[in-house]
Amino acid sequence: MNLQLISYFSFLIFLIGLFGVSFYKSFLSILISFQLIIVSALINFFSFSLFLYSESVWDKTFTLLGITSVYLLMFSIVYYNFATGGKIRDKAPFGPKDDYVLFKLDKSDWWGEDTLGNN
Amino acid sequence: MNGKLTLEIINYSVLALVFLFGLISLVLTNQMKKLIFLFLTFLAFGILCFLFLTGATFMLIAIIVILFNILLFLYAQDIEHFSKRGNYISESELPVGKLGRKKDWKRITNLTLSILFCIGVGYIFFKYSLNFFNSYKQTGNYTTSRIAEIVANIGSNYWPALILISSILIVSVLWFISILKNGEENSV
Repeated sequence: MNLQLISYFSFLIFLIGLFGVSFYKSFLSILISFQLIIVSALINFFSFSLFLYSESVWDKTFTLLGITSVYLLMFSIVYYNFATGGKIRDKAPFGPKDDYVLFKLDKSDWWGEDTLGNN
Repeated sequence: MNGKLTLEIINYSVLALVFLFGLISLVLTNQMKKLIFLFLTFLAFGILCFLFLTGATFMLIAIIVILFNILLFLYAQDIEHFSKRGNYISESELPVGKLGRKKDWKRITNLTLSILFCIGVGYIFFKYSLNFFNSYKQTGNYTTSRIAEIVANIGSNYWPALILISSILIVSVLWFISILKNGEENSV
């Protein structure tokens, strides 16, 4: 087995996940992209562990921490969806108005009047 | 045929299957098919865990699957109880044609920026990892795990089992809460 090939393969899976996070609109697609990123990270960590460090414990610790942090992030997103009482929900998940796009080219709000000091 | 060569071919083919199923699960628009192909991705990754990775990691895929299912279940419950039903049912994920040229322009820009971003990240990774891979000389063999080692590891290492049991408990509590809520709604 070639470490270089495995690393490039896992990085390809990571890039697919990154593309999914940045391009897709629906929440389900973004969850799936996060899964792909986790899978690629696992392959990367363990291939390095096998080939370079002969199965040390650090990679497992890092992997568990990585998985935990990504899942905490996703849980916080879903919990935010619950707790805000519809800020994300009103944008119609899985629907045509669904909008979780990372790169958005619209007129942003901060060009408008600054009303902070007026009150 | 050499056993090591056979194992290498199986490992590479399973790695390719993980990549292919992941790509298909992202590209498809039907949500049911998306989840089916994601399950196949997890299945291929489980086989990869067993063949290529060490035995201690064999349970990690179960943890990933259960945590993903908790998330999906929470999200489905959220939609079931709080969202308007008409909002989230749609045939296609990216509707085209209704909103005209402006929406198309936005989609193309979004696609281009995403691809450029991924190409940039890929280029940076390739550029800065090439030196390392050129200087690295692979020595030694990787070891495959045996069932006996996995069983011994499960017997001695309790953390994966604890995480699995706690996740199952969380899911079952959520499940009972949702059943009670549905029962109340039905009785009213």
